[in-house]
Amino acid sequence: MTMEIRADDITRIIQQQIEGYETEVDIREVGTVTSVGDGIARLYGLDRVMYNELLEFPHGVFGIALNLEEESVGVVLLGESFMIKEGDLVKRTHRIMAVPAGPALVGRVVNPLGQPLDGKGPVKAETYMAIERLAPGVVDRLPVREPLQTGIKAIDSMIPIGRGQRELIIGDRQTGKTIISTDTILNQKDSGVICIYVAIGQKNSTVAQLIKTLEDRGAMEYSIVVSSTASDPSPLQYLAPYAGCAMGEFFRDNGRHALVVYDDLSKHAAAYREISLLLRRPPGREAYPGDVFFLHSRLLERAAKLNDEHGGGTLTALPIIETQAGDVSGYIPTNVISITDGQIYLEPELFNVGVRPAINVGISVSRVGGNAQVKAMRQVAGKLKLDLTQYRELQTFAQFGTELDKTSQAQLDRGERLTELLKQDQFSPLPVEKQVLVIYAGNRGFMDEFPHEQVKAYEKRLFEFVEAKHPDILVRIAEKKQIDSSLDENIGAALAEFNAEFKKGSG
Amino acid sequence: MKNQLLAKRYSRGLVGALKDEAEFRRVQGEIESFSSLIESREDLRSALSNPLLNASKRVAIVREILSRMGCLEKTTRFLSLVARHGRLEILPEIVAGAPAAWNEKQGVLTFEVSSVVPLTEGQKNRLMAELERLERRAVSLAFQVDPAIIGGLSLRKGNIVYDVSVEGDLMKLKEKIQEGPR
Repeated sequence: MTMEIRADDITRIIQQQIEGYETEVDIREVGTVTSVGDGIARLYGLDRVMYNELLEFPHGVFGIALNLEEESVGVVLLGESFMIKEGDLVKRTHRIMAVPAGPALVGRVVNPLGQPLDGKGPVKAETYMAIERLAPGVVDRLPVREPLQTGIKAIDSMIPIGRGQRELIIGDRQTGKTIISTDTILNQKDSGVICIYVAIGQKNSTVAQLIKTLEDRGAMEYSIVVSSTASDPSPLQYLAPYAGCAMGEFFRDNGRHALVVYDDLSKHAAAYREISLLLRRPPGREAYPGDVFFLHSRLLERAAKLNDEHGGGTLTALPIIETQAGDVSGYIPTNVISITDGQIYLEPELFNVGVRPAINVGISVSRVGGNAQVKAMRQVAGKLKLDLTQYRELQTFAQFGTELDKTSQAQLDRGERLTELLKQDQFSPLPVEKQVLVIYAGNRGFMDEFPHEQVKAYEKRLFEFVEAKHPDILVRIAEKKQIDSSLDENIGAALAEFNAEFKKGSG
Repeated sequence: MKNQLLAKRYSRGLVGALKDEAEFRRVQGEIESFSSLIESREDLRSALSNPLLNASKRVAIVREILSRMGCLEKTTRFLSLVARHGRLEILPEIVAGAPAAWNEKQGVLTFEVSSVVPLTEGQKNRLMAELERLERRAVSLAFQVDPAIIGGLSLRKGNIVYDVSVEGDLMKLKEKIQEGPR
């Protein structure tokens, strides 16, 4: 039962509060709106405003000062502009744009301002992080050394990604770019990596679908989704990657590991172009402003592996770029390729013939991830990339129907099986020890005696067999992270045993 | 609003060319009367804003009128310049902005004072004396009545607002409530 409070008491309390309320002179700096339109406002006054400062307009609308000119200030509005009119007073807030950060955000869907979009109540974050921050310097960093397992055989074996790396995922529309990033997020379960998915200018339905996938597979427990969809004003789309990055930096700076996916940066560049043109900055190539390179380089530089004095945390970035008809020589693709530490190139031709993930092994690289790769994987997959590239070359010859010598034929057969082996279904990331086992089988020729149509069945039965009869092999690979001679023998024996059984079963 | 920016430049330019208070008053008066002449005469206004009329013709008309009014040379030159630039339509704003520009040149601060009811002479003098004491220089006050501030006063000096109004207090209260307990 609640204690009853008499009406007089309430009156008295209010009275006390009001009497104690002192009027003090509120000093603020103001400017006046001279023009507004297309989400951009121009102000007169505010001559001491800071670059990127948050400004308060009437009706609770906020804006960011992006153009500081001699007589006027160009501001992008972060909300609806129809209520703002000429002559409105604009207040300085003395605050640089910041977003809430910290563990409270994990599991949430927020907009680029950090406001919740998932209807799960307010975000109770203790800290705020400025969205534009300087990247860690040379002294504060270490080379990438821990692996970030994507759970995708083709990537973990040939294009390994390390924590703190920036690996670009590039390809035409509908080639599975987003799938690679979501599979990577799904594979971070129990790895302690916080995943941040930043949607830039995407369809609301696509984002909703993605959130559902993450929820259904229990990945939202360690993920944050920053959503700026195609219907959001372009300033929000422009801010989204920086907001996501700032949230990731919180974990990086606290000695933890985070992964940010920017999906995708081509739309980000387009949003920035829109803002720049409306602010009347001079257009350059393809009408992008002059600083579009800096736009992405300063964002991706913030992905880093910090040294032990700074806690040793990492922030890995997986930017995504959509190309038009396979043209990687476009302005934005070349920019981002040159900033990142490698790229995963996806091809529609491969996708259409059923090679999924449709990774073009020949031109996909990881410049720094090799150092971070699990040793066992390096042992079994060392030659894989070369074999596959040679196979692709031979394949074009073989199409002419020429007679092939024995070694070439063997190489073709091996390549066929390896290609088949690297195919992988969506939402089925594999732990690294299983990847090592199956690539071992493929690369050492254990699959050569079976037709390539059976590779999928072979893989599935192999895992069942090893889990049932030789579980110690998987445990030893996972624990030792390298294959010594005794383990090598054990794996060889187990595979020979399985081959005999598989032949019986299928024959 | 854009025009105000423009007008301000012309006002500043005008007062920059003037020597003393007497000259300013005379020139200001002449420009004001020319401005009201244009306001009152439809034919003159349409002639001066006619885009078919080229700049030299426009200037000639303005000079002719001014010589009949017997204006100072500086007034004539200023208005010819405005006419040549095709900016006669912002003349009222230039006239309105001139006193503030003159004060600025003389080192006098201009405060815009908003209140709910018109202030009495006594209140005005007290406010002026207090502001002069605080700023340690001459101030001039421009008064306006704004019911939206509910109570109290709001002083604006250029880009800075000193707010002691009930509206400002309510806004602060709103922010406190929105922030919630910390």
